[in-house]
Amino acid sequence: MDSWTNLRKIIHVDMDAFFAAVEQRDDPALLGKPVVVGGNPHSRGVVSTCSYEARIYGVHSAMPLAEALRRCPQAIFLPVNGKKYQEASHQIRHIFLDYTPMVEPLSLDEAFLDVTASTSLYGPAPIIAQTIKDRIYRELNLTASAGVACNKFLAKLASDLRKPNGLVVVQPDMVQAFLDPLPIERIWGVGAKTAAQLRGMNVKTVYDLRRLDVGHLTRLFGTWGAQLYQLAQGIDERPVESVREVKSIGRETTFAEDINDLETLQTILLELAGDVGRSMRKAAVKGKTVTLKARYSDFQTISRSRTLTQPTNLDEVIYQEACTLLREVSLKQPLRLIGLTLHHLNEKDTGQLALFAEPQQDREKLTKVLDAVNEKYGEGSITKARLLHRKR
Amino acid sequence: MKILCNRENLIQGVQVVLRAVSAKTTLPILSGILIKTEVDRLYLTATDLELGIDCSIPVQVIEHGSLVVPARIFSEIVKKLPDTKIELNTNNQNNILTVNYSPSQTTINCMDSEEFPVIPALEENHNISIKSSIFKSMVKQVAFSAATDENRPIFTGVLVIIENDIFKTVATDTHRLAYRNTTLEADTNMNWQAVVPAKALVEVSRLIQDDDEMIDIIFAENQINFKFGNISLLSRLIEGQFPNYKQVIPTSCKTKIRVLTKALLDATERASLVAREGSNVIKLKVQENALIITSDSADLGKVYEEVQVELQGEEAQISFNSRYLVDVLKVIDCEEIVIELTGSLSPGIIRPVDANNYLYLILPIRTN
Repeated sequence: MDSWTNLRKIIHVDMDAFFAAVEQRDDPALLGKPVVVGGNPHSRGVVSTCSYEARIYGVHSAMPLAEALRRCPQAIFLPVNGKKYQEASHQIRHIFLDYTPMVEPLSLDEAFLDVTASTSLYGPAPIIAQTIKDRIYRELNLTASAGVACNKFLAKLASDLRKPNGLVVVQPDMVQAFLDPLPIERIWGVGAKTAAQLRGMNVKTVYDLRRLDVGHLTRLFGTWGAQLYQLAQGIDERPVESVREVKSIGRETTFAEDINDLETLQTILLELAGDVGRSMRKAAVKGKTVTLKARYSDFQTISRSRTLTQPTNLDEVIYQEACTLLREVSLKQPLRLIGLTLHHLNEKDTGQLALFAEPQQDREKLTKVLDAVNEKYGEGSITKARLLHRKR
Repeated sequence: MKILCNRENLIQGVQVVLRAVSAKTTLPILSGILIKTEVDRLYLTATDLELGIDCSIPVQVIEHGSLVVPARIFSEIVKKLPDTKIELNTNNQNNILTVNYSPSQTTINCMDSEEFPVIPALEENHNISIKSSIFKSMVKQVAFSAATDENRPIFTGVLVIIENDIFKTVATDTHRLAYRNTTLEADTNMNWQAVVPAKALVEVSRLIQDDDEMIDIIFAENQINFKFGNISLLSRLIEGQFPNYKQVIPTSCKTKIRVLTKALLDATERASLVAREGSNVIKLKVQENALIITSDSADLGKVYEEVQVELQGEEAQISFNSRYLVDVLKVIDCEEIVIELTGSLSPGIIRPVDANNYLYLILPIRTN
């Protein structure tokens, strides 16, 4: 264990086909069968998760459901049962917290754990990783894959290497040997664009990348080039952040049929603004920048943003801004998706005093009462008349 | 339609109305300019339905007619025409415009003028006249204070008030407020007020070519029309109640300083360089004979500025958003201003020393 001296010990745990695995666990009839979680295959949603049995047929997450059905007609399609997955995720997080308080969840089904300070209590990091995997299997009847390394980048790469039910440890003195043969696409942040550019320079593997001059990379990619160089050496200083700052809150929806009617779109925005506002108030944050995302029927996607003078979490204000932004979107082609996001959350209150501010306070009070009613009597028990006929 | 005109006039007409063509319109017809002949003149019209501009230019009409030309391409072509006699010739059957600049020519596919929205003419019974130069200075000193976000639409407008021979304008984004009045040359016998989009006023101000000419302003219930030179601009009014601005202007103060406008502007602009990060906070400390402005940023550094002042009343401390102070100092024509303060949480008032027709109010920033 000598090579680990003075290094961090990071574990990345990634649940295997999480949503699908939960469904298979709860209904043994699904075991061994291709299961696709995402909803009705005749709707226009996308695959959220699919079981390994479905992956054999080329189904993968984010694929349109219709395409999944085409590739694997015998698959069993299930709706997304968010509550159930959340509960399982919650239980898993509790297991993590038994070994370290430094847990950074990335989503419902994966998390980073910094166990540097836990090893004297629970043994070396690989042992902790194995214990966690065993407990998840025993207590939840689900499998997870884990990666152990001295930073987040390597740990995540490792966990992905032997899925499902794998455990890969990257020994500090083996980092380069581990990284070198990997294709550059595996590097955190290298997307299609960077990859194409690098491949154009005949850089295919991390080994090729590592042999480039850092100055050359910086000239090509700016500061990102320098980061890229670091990652290629297996250097990643990002800490495990147990209290992760929420950077934005948003909602989007894909329509059952493309829409180009302004009124209908506005009604949908009103609904989204209500959802976003509600989430923001629950999280006790306010946002300063409103972004509207629109996807045309040909999948071309655009976004428009506006920054407010005062941060807000009021439905009305968000809705007003969203409508202003929608007016900037040409409806020559119908839309298939619309989304609303607030950024720049909780920027410090500037203390700027204002004139004529009373209506804002009134609205805040009203919103508080409406939230309380919905909290007590259930979602949608009080709503805008315009949204009455929309099913939630 | 068949007309002859010269290049300069055509360029002017197109450039003027182009300002009302919205780049992001949902109605294709609005991306065009309506051109229509009258006796010896060609009328060019464009609108985004909020704002409409028309401009008439002298032409020789050979055959009357009308057509909607696509604005962008037409303006590009017109700008690049050679300096020669230009003939516009249309075949109304197929909406094609031929621009002849002998020996060459360009043809443009156009739209039917029937589709173009009708811009209403307002009855001329409520109107006033104001000198261009005065109108321009009023817009310059007031319109910048209007809000740019649509959160509360009323504040994107300028409150315009006519009381007999007094013409008043007020704008606020709720963090600062600008007020300016002027006395008209003739009594209007009118009592009228409305909220005009700040954008429309800025547009008029920008289009004024001759500072000595008079602008005619015609008021109607939902619209306002500005006529000057060969241009007419029509704007909708903003609906809703403008709050009582008089109520928020303090009538007394505890601290009063006199300071050179330029010296204060320079000091504030320097201080704003490091205050830029975050919320542009600058701190003002009023002492006997000196106003001290400080700002700091953890990343950039600190600025300390000292400006000579004449103080009446108490010493004081207050924080402002530097932008709100810079904005006003740039538009005040007077060499010296008076700043009135009452504690660190009440609005500050700025006036020129030589006139009582202008007032600017800034709300402070609460600091610990």
